[in-house]
Amino acid sequence: MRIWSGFAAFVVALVVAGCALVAPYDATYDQDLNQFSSDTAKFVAAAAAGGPERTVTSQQAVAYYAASYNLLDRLSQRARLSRASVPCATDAGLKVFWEQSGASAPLPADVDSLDCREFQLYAVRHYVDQLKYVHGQPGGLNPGRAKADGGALQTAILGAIQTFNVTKPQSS
Amino acid sequence: MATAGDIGKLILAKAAQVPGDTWSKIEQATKLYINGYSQNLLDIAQGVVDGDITPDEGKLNATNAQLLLEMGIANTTEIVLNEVQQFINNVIGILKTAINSKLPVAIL
Repeated sequence: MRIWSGFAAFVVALVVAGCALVAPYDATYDQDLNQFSSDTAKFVAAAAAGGPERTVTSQQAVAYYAASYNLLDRLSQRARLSRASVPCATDAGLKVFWEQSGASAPLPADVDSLDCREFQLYAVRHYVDQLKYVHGQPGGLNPGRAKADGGALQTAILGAIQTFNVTKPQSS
Repeated sequence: MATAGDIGKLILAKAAQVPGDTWSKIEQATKLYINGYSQNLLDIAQGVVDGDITPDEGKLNATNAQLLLEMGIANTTEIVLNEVQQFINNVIGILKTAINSKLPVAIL
């Protein structure tokens, strides 16, 4: 009974405080990340096919990474402005992955306060970092790397889209 | 004077009537990350066999693949938080008057 009373008190406290456990749906993330997925698929396929994209210093590769980081910077900034009141349980896990080679930018000082949407954007950033890192290794973005590292990035992008769509209103 | 238990009974009685498909949503959503992780391990191994990926790079990639599982946990967390948010919005919205009547002063 004490547990249920505590639960009820918790719920009432949340209502009174007006806490938002999740951020409201915003179609911008869905649209931009879908476009990013499409651009990534074309870029990775061109590299795997032996196009100039295979070399990390190519004009195409430089443009792809610049656009990718710009997009992730913009979306992370947007997500920060509508941050939910509950940090994501997985936030601390990011630090382990950021200790590896290839991180394009340090984690923010308030990494432990990221909500789950922001966490997903940083996870996507890590897979872009890793794609760029292996891209710069001898042999460039060969078919094996394109499939493994490009595939992981695609899964991460789709995973992020899925999270941003959790709060999408159900169509009636 | 109503007690927290009285208010709790109101909330829980209403909550029991809320149809729940939370587990189904989690189960469906988790497949993407689990299947992605499994496929990634296969792709990495094949890349090493084909000589496109060095063994050291393969180990690094396998470690990185684990972040997909963390993403699955983050997505599950978002689903659960959203369900709780919906619960608060729907159930408390319906019970607002009833709860206020049990408080010394209406605050909802």
